[in-house]
Parts: sequence; C-alpha cells; structure tokens
Amino acid sequence: MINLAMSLAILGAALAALLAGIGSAVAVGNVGEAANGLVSQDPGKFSKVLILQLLPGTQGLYGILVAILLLSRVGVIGGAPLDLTTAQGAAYLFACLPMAFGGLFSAIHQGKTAVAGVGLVAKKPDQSGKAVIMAAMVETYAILSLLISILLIYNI
Amino acid sequence: MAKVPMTKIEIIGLLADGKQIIERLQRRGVVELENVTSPELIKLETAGSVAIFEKNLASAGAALAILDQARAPKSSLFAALRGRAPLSTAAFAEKKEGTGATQNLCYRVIEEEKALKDLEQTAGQISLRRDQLLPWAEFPYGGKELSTKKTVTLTGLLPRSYTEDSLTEAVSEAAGVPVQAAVVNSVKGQTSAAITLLKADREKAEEALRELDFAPVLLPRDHNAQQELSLLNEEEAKTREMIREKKKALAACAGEHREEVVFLMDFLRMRMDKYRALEKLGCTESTVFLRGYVPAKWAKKLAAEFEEKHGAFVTLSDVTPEDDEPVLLKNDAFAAPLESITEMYSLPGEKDPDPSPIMAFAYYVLFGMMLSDAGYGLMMVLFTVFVLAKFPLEENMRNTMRLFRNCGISTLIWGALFGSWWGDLPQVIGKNFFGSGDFSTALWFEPIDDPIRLLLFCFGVGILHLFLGVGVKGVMLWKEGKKFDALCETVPIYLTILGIAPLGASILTPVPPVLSAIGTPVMLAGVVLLVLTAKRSGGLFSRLFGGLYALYNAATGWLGDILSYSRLLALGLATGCIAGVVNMICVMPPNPVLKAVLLVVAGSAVHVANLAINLLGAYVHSDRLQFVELFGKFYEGGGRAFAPLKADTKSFRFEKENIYHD
Repeated sequence: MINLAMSLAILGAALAALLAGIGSAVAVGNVGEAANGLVSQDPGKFSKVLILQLLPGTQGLYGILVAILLLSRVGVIGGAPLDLTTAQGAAYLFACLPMAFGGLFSAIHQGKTAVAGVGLVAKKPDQSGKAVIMAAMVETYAILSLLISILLIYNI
Repeated sequence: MAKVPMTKIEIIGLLADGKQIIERLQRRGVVELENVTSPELIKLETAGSVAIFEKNLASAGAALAILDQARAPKSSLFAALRGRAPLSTAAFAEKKEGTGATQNLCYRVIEEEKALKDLEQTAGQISLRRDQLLPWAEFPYGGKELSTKKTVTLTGLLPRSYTEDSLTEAVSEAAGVPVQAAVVNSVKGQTSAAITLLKADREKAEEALRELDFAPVLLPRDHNAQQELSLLNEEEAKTREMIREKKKALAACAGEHREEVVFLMDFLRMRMDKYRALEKLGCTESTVFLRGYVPAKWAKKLAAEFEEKHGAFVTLSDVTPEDDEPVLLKNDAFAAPLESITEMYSLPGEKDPDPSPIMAFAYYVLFGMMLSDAGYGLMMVLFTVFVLAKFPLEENMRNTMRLFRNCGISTLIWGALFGSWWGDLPQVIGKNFFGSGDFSTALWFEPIDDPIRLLLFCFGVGILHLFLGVGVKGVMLWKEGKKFDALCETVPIYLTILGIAPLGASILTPVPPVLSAIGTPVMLAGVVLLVLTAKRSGGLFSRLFGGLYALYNAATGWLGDILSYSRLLALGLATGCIAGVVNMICVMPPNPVLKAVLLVVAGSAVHVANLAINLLGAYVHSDRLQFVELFGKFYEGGGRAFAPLKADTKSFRFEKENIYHD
C-alpha cells in the first residue's frame, strides 16, 4: 500500500540514489576531462588515469545500493509493500540521508583529488599508485555513510 | 627474507679493461655503482657519446612510431603476459652486427615519412586547385585570350548570386565605369564571373570589385580550364599512386624490420647506460677504479669472477652507517607479492624492517573480507592460476598474479563463510528453477542478517591488525636494546584497548558480564601505565602532561583507527548486494527460459564488471589499511631503491646470462 509513510521511504531511496549519483557524475566527469587532456598528449597513460576516473564513481553505486536495500526492505521491490507508520517512513527517509549527502560531497571532493592525481600521473607516471591512494582516502567518508545508512535501514 | 644485506665492492683494473669490466657488470646486473670523486683520479668524459646515443635513440623511436602507424603491430590480450623473449649471448652478438644497418634504416624511414608528407601536401594542393577551377570547366578561354589591346577580363568568385544583368549593373554602378559581366557558373549563393572592362578603368573596377568581396581566380594561361582540369586529374592520380606505393613500402618495411628497430632501441639504451656508468669511474694513467654496492650473498662470487677474468683487484667491505645503502627486498613466494605494495608507499628506511612479510597475511585476510564473495574469489583463483601456469611471466607480473591468486583464495574462504556465491545466485536459481530458494550456503552466518555481529568482528580484526603494528614497533625497540621502551610502547596500549573492547562492544550488543567486569580494571591499569610511561624523560609535570597528552592521542587515534575497519563490512556488503541486485534483475521476466538466458549472458557480463569495480575497491582499501593504520604504528620509510647497472631491455632478456639468481 502506498501511503505517506511509504512515500517518505521512497523519497529516502530516491535521495540516496539521486544525490550520490549526482556527486559521482560530476566527479567522474571532471576527472574524465582532465584525463582526456593527458591522454591526448600521451595515450599510453590511459589505463592509469582510467582507474583515477573510476574511483569517485563508487559513491553512485553505494547510493543505488542503499536505495535498493531500502526498497526491498519495505517491499516495494521483490515482495508486498509493508504497512508502515508515518514515523517509520520518516525514519527510513532519515536513514538514507548519510548516504545521500555523504555520497554527494565525498564524490565531488574525491573527484577534485583525482583530478590533481591526473596531474601527478602526467608528471610522475611511476607514482600513479600514490595518486590512487590519495583519492581513496576521501572515499572513507562515503563508506562510513554507507555503513550508517545500511545499519539504520536494517535496524529500524 | 626481508631487506637484502649489501656489501661494498671496490674494483681496480687496467684502464684497457675498463669497458669490458663495465660490460660484464652490466650483464651481471647486481652492482649499483657509486660516483667516484677524488682529486687524484681522472674522470672519463662520455657526455658526447651519450648525446649521440640519445639522438640515435630518438630517431629510432620516431622511426618505430612511423612504422607502427604504417602497420599496426600485432597485439593481443595476453601479449603483456608473455614477457620478454629470451636471447642467447651468441644471438645477441649476431644481432648486434645488424644495428648499424638498422640505424640507417631508421633515418631512411624518417626521410620516407617526410617525402610522404610532402606528397600528401601536393595532392591536397592539387585538389584545392581543381575545386577552384571546377566552376570554370565550361569557360572556353585560357588566360592568354582574356586581354586585348584595350580591354581586360577579370575572372573570379563572388559570394552572392547574380545574373549577368544584375552583376553588370552592380559593378558599373560601384566603379562608375562601363563593364560587361558574364556569369560562368552560379550555385549556392556563389557566382563565378568574368568581367570585361577597359584597361584604363582597371584600377577603379578592381577597387569596386573588392568592395563586393570579389576573389580573383587565375585561369591557366595557355589552355582553358577544362584542359587544365584533366591535367590536374592526371597529376593527382599519379601523386595518389605514389602515396599508396610509399605507404605500402613503409608497411612492408614495418613487417620486415620492426623487430630490428625495437632491438636497436634496447641496444642503444644498454650502450647509453654503459657510457653513463663509465662516467662514474675514476681513472689513473693506467688503471680504473670503481666502487659500488652488491648484495652480500653474491659478493664473493662476483669478486672471484672479476679477479679471474680481468685480473682485477677486488676489495669487499661491510656497509657502514655513513654509507647511503640502497634497499633491495627479497621475500618468499607468500610475501613477495606485497613488495610492490611496500614500494608504492616507500621502501624501508635505515631502521625499518621490510614490512612486506609483516603485512602479507593481514593483507590477504583484509582483501578477502572486503570482496568476500566465494564466486568472485573462485573466478580470481581460476584466472590467475591459469595465467601463472600457461605464460612465461616476467617477475613483476608473476608477483601481481600471485597477489591476486592469494587474495582470491582469501575471498573464496570469506565468501563461503558468509554464504555469498555471486551474491545470492544459488538461492535465486533454487527459487526460480527448482521451487525452493529459502536456504543459506553460509558456513558461518549471513552478514545481512546480523550486520552488528560482523561489524564487531571487523573491529576485532582491526584491533589485531593494529596490535601487530604496535608489536613490530616493540620488537624493533627490543632488538635495539631498548627493552624498557619496548614494554612501555606495547603493554599499556594493549591493556587499554583489550580492557575497553568489551565495554565498547556492549554499546552494540549484549556482552557477557564477566568480560565487562574484567574489562574495566584492565582498561584502568592500561590507562594508568600509559600516563605514567608515555613520556620517560623530563621533570614530574612534564612527564605527567606528556602522559596525558599521549592518552588523548591514543584515545582519538585508536578510536578512528578501529572505526576505519568498518569499511570491511561496508565493502563486503556492497559486493554481495550489488551482485544480488544483478541476479534479481536477471530473473525479473516471468518466462523461465528468458530468465536462464539473461542470467547466463547478461548476468555473467555484469558480474565481471561488478568484480572489476569491487576488486579495485578492495585493492585500494587494503592498501589504505596497511599504509595508514598499520604503517602508522611503526614504519618510517624513505629508503632508496637498489638500482644496479643492468641490461635494461624491453624486448628481450639474456638467456641464462644472469648467473646471480636464486
């Protein structure tokens, strides 16, 4: 049954996928622009910068993950929709916020780090591993957001 | 098993043998040369030779690029796995003879390329001229016939549509002189026109035509445009044919000589390295002197070889703390794959142990927990075992494959414990094709059913990992003879964390009261010890404040460090859940045949993509947990890599040449 409570839960799922997805799209796009510039000069560095471009894409995946976990938890996919109270629906909405905003901002900033990493690969290709690690540091906070969102969804 | 101990080696030989000595060193590839400077010694000047090699290398590189463009070199998915081809010394000597000819070939290839570019430019100019003349094909006169005693006819292009009358009117009006225009061709707002006027009016008319954006077209002088066009066509066909011939010749040359050019480049690089090495020597009137580092285990054998072959005088001595000792890592098959991870961070400094064997086991465990899907682990193991067995891999690639094989085994084990095989594929297949999907394949428990339990387990693993780092620090201090320091660095923090762990866990889950009861006094004991022993010098207040500061640092640092291991849970869940979503989407259509087809075709492709993304994630975050959490406890880094003079070749390796291997 779709009522206000269910709509709130769906809003949560939508926000998680939407905001984390926006963050990843912006970041992957930015890194891609920088990477194209480098590859135009030196096509041999393609695989190195591809990894850098891929890194901030994970937030979008985490967002989708939270959305699908929530939707299957409340029965919108793979079962009958649960009869939620409004408070429960709101709680599900709040549970998605860490992933939504943590994903959005960590992706964008990870993208910036990765863009700088493309610069590092351009100057010192043998140090590309370090550029990857620097960018991965930012992802920690997306992972923490993901963790809290998942724990909340499964414990509400 | 760790850092390879080095010995200093000094060789004095006859000046006449200098080159052979360096060549032998290069073949052996186990000695890093130091630049010898002393006012009594003369230095060899090789910059000129090196510059010539550089120039030749650049031209060979350019020629190779041209050849590869003329004919794309064969490349396959597995080419990178095959490694360099072995080459015997005899074959090398034979190939070496051909390098002069190859070098000439490179210059010829560059010349040919230049000629080809010129021809292409000519062809371009011809076709431009043809496009210009095409509208004039019907115009019967050549340039010679366009002027009479008193009149002249201007030919050109106007960027607008005109009829004969409108153009005549436009030009006469603008110039204020009588003209007669003929429209030769008018298409798409462009008019090719011949405008006849008196020679005396020419300046005025030209001025007016410029205003109308008239662009003159020069017609051929001795014949008309039609004849010129057929000449141009002929010429272009000839040029194009020549271009084709040249391209074909280059492609044939690529097929025949590409390998030789690649060999030449390696040969030049080797010679360049040799001449650069010569610069590091010191000479007297009749002797050469060189100094360097050699792994201690090879030192005697190498000394004997040089004494025998070159009658050289060799001295071996131990490395002293003042020396800038280079770092070479050597580990067993279990830890060697981790050397690249160590290198990525920083090679061990003077006091550091090699962290590769220390972190090896933990690395595999953490990686497996993050990927934690038995199906994916199985795919990794099968792929890497296949590659390892099938291809003659270079050492680096072999270690990479070993790394992922070991990580794959760990992934397989954790996946089986947590019941994840390509996500929930067994359940999905059971439910959709056999009517029952309500079972668990978990040997331990399903994380999604009890994430808190797994979270606590992750923290536990994290604490062990961090304790390992602290323990290594303690052992390092102990070995240095600072036994009291070793105890102060380890025992208080162990007690504090062990005591606080049950209290922390009780926030998330019920903990047996015995543990909580023991926990509090253990933690207090640890805290007191920490405050008392953290700062072991200075006055009473200085020690006390130092201790409190250390306590604050420990509290915040360790909290952050331990929480950081929650990524094990998050990434593990992410792999399984995304895999589950893939399965769910594949079985959405009601038709069972379609379900099966989707699962096999689309499912396998998306699972491979999911594996790739999560593999990257697990790799990066395993690295991070080593670099930040583990290395933070004991590791300094800053070592300098051992860079021996060796045959640094890309296309081949010397067969059985390096007698210095295990």
